[in-house]
Amino acid sequence: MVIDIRNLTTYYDSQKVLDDISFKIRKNRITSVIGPSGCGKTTLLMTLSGLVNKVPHFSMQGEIEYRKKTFTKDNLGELIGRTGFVFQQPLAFPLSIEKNMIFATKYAGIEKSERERIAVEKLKEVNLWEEVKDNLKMKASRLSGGQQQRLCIARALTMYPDVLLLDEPCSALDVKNTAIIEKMLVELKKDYTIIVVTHNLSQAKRISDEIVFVNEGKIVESGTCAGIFNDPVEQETKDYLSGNFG
Amino acid sequence: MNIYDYADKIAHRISRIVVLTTFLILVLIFLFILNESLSFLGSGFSDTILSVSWRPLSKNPSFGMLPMILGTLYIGFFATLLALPVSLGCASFISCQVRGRLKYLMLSMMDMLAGIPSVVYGLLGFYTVVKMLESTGLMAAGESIFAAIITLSVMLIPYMASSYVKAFEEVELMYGFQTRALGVSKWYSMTHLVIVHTKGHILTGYMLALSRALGETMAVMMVIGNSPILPKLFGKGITLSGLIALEMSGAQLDSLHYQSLYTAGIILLAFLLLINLLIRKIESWVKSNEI
Repeated sequence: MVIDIRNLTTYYDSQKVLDDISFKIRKNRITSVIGPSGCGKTTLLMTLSGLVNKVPHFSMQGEIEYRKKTFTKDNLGELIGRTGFVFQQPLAFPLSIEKNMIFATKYAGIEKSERERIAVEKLKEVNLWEEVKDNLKMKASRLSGGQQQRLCIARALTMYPDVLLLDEPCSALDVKNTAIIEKMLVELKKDYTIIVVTHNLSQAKRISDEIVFVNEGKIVESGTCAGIFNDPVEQETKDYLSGNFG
Repeated sequence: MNIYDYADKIAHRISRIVVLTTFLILVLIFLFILNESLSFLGSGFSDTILSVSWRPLSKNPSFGMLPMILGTLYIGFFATLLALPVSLGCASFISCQVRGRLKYLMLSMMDMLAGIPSVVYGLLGFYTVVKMLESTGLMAAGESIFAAIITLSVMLIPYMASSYVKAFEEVELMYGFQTRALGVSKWYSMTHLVIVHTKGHILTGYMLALSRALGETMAVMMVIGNSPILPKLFGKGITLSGLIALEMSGAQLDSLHYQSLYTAGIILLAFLLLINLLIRKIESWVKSNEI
């Protein structure tokens, strides 16, 4: 177990977004959080990254245990930067590929040669090295959408997080690039614990080991991928998976 | 064609007329100034423009504008250079560090400062910088190039900062969460991403401020001492616009003195035109680099 979420309730102003959520994330697994739009999937991911602490009018109750440390509303901000976070839009920084890759490690004060070694290692991990190795000085914005998303993933891995959080990482990509990212995520899970937020049920079925189904801020059902997709217990889950709502 | 198509056509024509009128006014201003100065440029005295002696009313007149040209450039460049880091600091603070009502308040105050008439800045410069310089005892009179640079830079800060805030906010909005997710500080993100990415906008803003600084008349005139001598940091000086403003009312119509002041205007216009061309170049360079 890498992350243990206990009785997590979150609010934006007085509006409740997540309602008393508790579940555990297991190591070296891909856990997909599925659910209809507006159910609180992204808020859950943002809370796990600590980034939600930067959102105005956010408040929370409950606690998150990560690396044997407990985070509550008072120290949630300390979570920022401990996990790798990849956003929906493949937005590489408007800098060179090389500068994108050393952005965080330079801040951390890591030596130049070590920074370069990490950059190469992570680009290889996301299968991008062969495509960009001769153009590291090129602007990252000139890469294709799929390449930019892989660059964003590689950049998120440069600080050696053991958890990678991805918010609908393929929603802006075509079928070919989606397949590349999915294959890469399956390869990455041997080194990282991966949590993916997606509303693409087929994708969740293809890549996940565990599924957490969230609706209206509550966990309706969670379990193994095969269990949820083949033999859901709750009627709400059955309805969602069969497309009756969402 | 329905009524909306007609309305579209009329609006298109009106816009075209407005644009052409603006362009025409600009051309006419240029032609008018050129026409007024042509007689001077054709006279034997035009060779003296680049000399240092400005004696338009002497028996042996000379029209050396080098002190004014150098004074204008000296003050323009140094005032903008001084205002640049402060404006960048203000803009980065407002765009990245504050939010909500405080941000709104700061932006409103900055816009108000940018809108204050230059004569007020001149007064402030006179009663603060000039008096302070006088109190040091290093100079007989505090009116100097230095006082003009300080006054002008204070005047330019809100103008420059205001133009940078928007550019910084756009980048911050787009990449702010991404940089935070990597665990880097706002300051690091500002210096290594926002400023790097907006360097074209920063340069354009600088050039616009420079063109405003070169043409600034009243605030500078009130603190510079207005002496046609070669500029020194702690000495008096005069700018091209200051020269025109001070002497135009006393110059006899169609005299060489009168025409030479129009020539000073042509020189000033040439500087501004050059800066505008540079701005266009920078903008196209920024666009080609954004792809």
